[in-house]
Amino acid sequence: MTLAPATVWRTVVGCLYTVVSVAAVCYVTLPLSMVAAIVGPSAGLGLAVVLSVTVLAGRGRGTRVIGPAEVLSGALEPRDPAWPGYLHLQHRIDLVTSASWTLAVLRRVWRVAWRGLAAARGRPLLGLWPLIPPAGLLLVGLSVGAGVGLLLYAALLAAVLLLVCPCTLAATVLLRCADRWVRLRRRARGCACTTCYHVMAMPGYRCACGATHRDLRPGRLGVAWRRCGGADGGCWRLLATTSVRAAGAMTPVCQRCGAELSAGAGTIAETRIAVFGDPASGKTQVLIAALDLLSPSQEGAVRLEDAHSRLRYTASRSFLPASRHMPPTMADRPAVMTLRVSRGRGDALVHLFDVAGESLADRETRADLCYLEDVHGLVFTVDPLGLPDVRSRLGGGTGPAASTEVYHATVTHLRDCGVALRSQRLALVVTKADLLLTLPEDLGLAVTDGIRSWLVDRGEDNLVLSAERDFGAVRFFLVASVPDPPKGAETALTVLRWLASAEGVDL
Amino acid sequence: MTSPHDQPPAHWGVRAVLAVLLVVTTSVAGAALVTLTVDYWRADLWPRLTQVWER
Repeated sequence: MTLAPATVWRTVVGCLYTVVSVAAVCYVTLPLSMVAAIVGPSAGLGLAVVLSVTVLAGRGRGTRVIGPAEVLSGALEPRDPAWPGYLHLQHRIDLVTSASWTLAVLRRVWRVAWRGLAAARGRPLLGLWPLIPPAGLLLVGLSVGAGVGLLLYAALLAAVLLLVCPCTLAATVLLRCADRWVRLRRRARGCACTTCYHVMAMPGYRCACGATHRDLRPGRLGVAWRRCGGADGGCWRLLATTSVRAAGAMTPVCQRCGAELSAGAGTIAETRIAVFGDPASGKTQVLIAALDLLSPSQEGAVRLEDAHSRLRYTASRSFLPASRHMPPTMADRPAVMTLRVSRGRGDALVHLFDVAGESLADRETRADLCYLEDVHGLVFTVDPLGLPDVRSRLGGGTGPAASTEVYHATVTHLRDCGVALRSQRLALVVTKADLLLTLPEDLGLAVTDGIRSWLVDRGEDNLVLSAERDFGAVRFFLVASVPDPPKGAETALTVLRWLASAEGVDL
Repeated sequence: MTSPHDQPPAHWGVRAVLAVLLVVTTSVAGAALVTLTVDYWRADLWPRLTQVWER
């Protein structure tokens, strides 16, 4: 049997190709694959690490930083102009950026390899097929190594978080508790703004750069300190986080209107006392007489806190003694005088609200008296000469008592606002004792037997019983707003002392 | 948006610590991986390959 030359030729070439292929697999593909199995994962691991370190160095592609602007826009709570802690949000962004960058590089490598293979299809280059398995192995190893690198990075972050987070959480809770404990010890239960009358649990704090931090408690923006990001991120000041520490270094401001508050507001005891009553019943005289007895001065234990209070006190004082006519209180805006008392356990603030009698008469203007909802004690002044019984005996006209109407209107307003009156004190003050005690015996002198029974005898039993029913504690006072009150009358300061003592303020 | 270079020192500190830990960890892990692979290669795979080649 004779074979055709073409068949012989084809058989020889086939055998030769088989021998060469086996040799290529043994001497090229296998050794190169083994090298690729080591080089690929190592290169992938190195790639992931280099890219991650570049991102950590702030030079990565698409690196995003969560700064004060992002916090203010709601990326993190509280929305204060401060730098967030790295391990609260930025670490996640850096990890995602590293992963995205590494995947983008791997995608590009695979695309280049695939395009090279597609371009070589059907060409003599395909004769280099023994190199394809090692190259594929190299690419797979590269990808696996990069994945392992990223997993290592994630595991490392998780380990750091597991180590750090419990510590920061414990420190945060500890500092918050310590802050609260100090404030409770100082009897600090919120503070009031004397500009907009807003009452807040804690004030905001203004940095020297002008940025306001509304929530300075330890938290995501810093445990013991936070880095201010005001002035478009250029402030960089370190701020103490707890309110007790911040109070000594920063300016407290109102959470609502941003007005400056008294130093230490929110961290010292504060009591708010409002004086109300019908017009010309002697509200302002009671306040000024009480302040006169306290002798507020710049250096003393009792000081008028701000320029407005000093101005108001000086202006009103010139009208005492009571024989001189006191101008009516401005109805559009209640006059607030703030006292700083430095006695006993640290400083304390006393806000005295002088409510215009006219503003209580009208339902619409009464709705603006929001600050009445947050006072700790109320003084209700009754003009004895305005009582119908006294007025008729003195030859004046008859008619309903204006004071009773004002009382009921105010109490209704407070009750509508949801104020728990049973937890408040009311000082029911009969003013103008110096005049009352000069009246005929059947009208005036009997008052010394007991102001409550005197009011009931004068037909004001409705007012007395209502007050005792509405408030948790009611005390009746007969007050003369003069430097030396006559026998039987009390000083205006006694009234304020009784109310302030409920909040632990020693006047 | 905040520039990546404008960050508080505390951030840079944490970043530096993380970078060092990452480099050290991966170096150790990588070195262990390469050593194990080379050992396996030399002890098991290489002798088999040389047997194949000798045949």
